[in-house]
Amino acid sequence: LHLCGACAQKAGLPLPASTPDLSLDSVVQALITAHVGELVGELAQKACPNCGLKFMEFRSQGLLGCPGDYQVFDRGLLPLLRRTHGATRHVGKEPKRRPDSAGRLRLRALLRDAIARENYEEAARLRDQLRPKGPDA
Amino acid sequence: MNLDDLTRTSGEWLRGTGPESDIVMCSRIRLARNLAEFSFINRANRNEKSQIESTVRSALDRCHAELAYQDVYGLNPLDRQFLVERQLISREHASADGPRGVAIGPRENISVMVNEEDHLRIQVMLSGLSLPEVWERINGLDDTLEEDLTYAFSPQLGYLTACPTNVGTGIRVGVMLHLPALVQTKQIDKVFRALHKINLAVRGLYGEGTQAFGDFYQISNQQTLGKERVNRS
Repeated sequence: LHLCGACAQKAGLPLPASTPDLSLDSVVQALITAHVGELVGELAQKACPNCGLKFMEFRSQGLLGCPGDYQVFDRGLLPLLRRTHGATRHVGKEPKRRPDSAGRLRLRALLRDAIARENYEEAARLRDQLRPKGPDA
Repeated sequence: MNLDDLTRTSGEWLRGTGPESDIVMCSRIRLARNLAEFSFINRANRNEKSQIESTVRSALDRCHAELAYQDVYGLNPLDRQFLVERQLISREHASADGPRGVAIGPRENISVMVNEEDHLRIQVMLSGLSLPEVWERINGLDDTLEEDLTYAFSPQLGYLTACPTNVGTGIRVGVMLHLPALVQTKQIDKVFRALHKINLAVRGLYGEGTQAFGDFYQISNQQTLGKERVNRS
């Protein structure tokens, strides 16, 4: 059955735009406020050196900016993870490669700089370093 | 790909085949994955989103899963809505901004959203109650993609995701159920309360924030950290 927007409204069916916001983000925000309140003063001073996210921005949006944020804001995040998942340590599948996420983020930033400076020799070297190298890399 | 071809068939979740399909419309597993060297989507600029899309697309092209790639950025709103109704993309992916797309598998039982909340949202669904088979398929696809992509992963926290509610395994295992009798006998709230106690979430037909019209409900896990992904007990 296919209805246009007007007919769907007439039939009393809710349109996507009119559905209430019960997203996980809002639940996360409530949890952040409830469980890291005492650390806010200390965390408010911190910003991620890679993506620039401030902890207060995470508090209001519920989303992190880059993989490195888990390390930068660990004091604020671990209580939240404990509350949400009942755990702070991963169990289960692991990738065959163990990437150094922070290292790769730094390499990517250097690559951006090298391209901006038109240093293509340096850019090619950095690009090669970023390529997956197999299970033991 | 030509979306008109999809309109001539029904989506996997509507097929009505498979075990227990009178109650369980479909079984679905999704994995959230991110590339280690890029910011998450909410902090990525247009250029970075393009780079992520092209990196993931190359890996998808090489994984031999007969996936057809559909650019979502250039689609008109009606076609995006069609993909939402087929459960191939989320409402958020339909309304987002910037370069993004979805790779769709044969019979619409695989979809890989690129540049949704996470760089990759891999989804496999099968009609009826078939979670072990869904897991086998999605695990294989994840392994194949990982040969070409370097996922953001921490030994302590597992697969790193934009939202901390998904960190760890990045998995969401769900079933879509049709439960009219429980609604008519007013037993449904009791069932939901019991599900919440064991940390399972109940959502409407089209996922988060949608109403459960037609007595269709999606039931899935909420916790992703500190639990084994496959526990068949």
